[in-house]
Amino acid sequence: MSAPESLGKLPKWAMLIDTTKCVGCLACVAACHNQNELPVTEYFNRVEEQEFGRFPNYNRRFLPMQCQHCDNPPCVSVCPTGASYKRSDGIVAIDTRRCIGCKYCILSCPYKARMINKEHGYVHKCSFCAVLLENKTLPACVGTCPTGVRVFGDLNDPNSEISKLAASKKTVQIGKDLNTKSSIYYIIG
Amino acid sequence: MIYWSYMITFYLFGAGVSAGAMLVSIAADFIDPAKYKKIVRTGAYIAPFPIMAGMIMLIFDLERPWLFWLLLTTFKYTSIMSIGAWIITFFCAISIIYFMLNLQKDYLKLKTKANTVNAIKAVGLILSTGVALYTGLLLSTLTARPFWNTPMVVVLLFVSAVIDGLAAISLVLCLRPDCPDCCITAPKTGENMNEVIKNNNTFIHTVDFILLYLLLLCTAVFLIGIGKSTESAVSALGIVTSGRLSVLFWFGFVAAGVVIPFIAAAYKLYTKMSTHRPWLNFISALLALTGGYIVRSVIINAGQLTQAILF
Ligand code: SF4
Ligand code: SF4
Repeated sequence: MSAPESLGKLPKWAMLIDTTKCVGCLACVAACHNQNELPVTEYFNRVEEQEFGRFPNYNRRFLPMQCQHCDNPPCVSVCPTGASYKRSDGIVAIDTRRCIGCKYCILSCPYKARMINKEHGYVHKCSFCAVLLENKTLPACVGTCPTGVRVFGDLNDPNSEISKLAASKKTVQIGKDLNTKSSIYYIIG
Repeated sequence: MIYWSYMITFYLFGAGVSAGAMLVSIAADFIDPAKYKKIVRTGAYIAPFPIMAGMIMLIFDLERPWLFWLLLTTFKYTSIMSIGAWIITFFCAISIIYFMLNLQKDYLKLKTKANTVNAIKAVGLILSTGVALYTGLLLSTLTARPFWNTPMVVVLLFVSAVIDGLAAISLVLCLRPDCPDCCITAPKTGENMNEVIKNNNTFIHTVDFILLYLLLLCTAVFLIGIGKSTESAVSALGIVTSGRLSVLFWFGFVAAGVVIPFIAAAYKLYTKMSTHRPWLNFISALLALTGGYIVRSVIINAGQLTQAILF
């Protein structure tokens, strides 16, 4: 990917989550709820607490989880009506008018990223705050995080912070062996 | 979390019984239409209905059932569910045609060209194979679900579907063993009714025995395969063999679904039980059907209760 080539191209949105900085304050979860006006029982992002190692080399970490906007998304390929689709800017979106609520996509997602909307019956999930992106605003969780865990940007712009971080050896994609090609890169402590 | 309720289990079960009944009926017809006409007719009469009941269940398992028609205005080749919805639609159509075809031999006495009839049977064979494979493929293609994500699920559900179809035929035959009009045209003059029943029973018992032997192998290979697989698959197996699904698994899946029908089939073959003993046939057919339902129920639930461990 060279600079002149990518100029003027559509963005390819991606996120970096640096778990070494995460303190588990759940501000991102609250911001997401607020932004997407979700009922209490539904959420698009969550923070998993994990314990690892053996005493005395024992530790725990917080692992923020959400839709990974996979480049090879199983949820999109299994959706029988085409309600779930991949946008050219990398966002995996849902046309709720076409969703019949078969829940096949929920079962296909390895990241438990999808939820049924109790009120309307369709499936919904993290949209990388596509509405905010249109107004050149960062996704709610990114802007809210007090410790700067989340970095958001355009992978098609080689000078962006996210491009550099994604290319570095520090980052991993979770569930890589399932071939989902996720758009969220993690730094795991 | 359980997303697919018992209605999906019933849908897969109904699809399996229908596809199995159709397959058995057409296969028996290829082998010897005169000798096995009871099986051919009964299979044809059963085939359209369980799957239609299953479709209704499927629609009501949707969160937005009123939009189900979108399934039939879209075709997405990447989605097994979309492919399956189409296969099932065509299967329903052909099974109704096949039903009429057999009905007309008994009642309507219309003339149909031999070529047309053969074409209907060939298409029926392909579509029923498709339906029987689809129920397994729907599950086995999800990498996120370790209990499903093995090709053995497809083979297992396929074999089980044919066994269920056979059991449904056997059940109906038990209810009206020598009924002249529901299962068979009245015996031709000189044809011995007992002989007809005997032939058909022998066919059922032989095929049943072979398939149950295969099912036994499939089940063993399926479980060993999962037990030797990833950490999440092993934990799925734990739920099934010793966790919350264990009673259903050991008594329903293993005992009622596989082992007892196998022993019963072996016994019937061994004692050359070709004379008609409706009660024994009835009970083992009922057991096989119950088992077939529970096999699907265990697989559906176990797959949903466990997820691939990512990190
Ligand atoms: S994380 Fe799940 S919901 Fe998001 S794109 Fe990937 S498979 Fe689909
Ligand atoms: S629940 Fe909706 S979005 Fe998900 S696979 Fe079914 S139709 Fe598609």
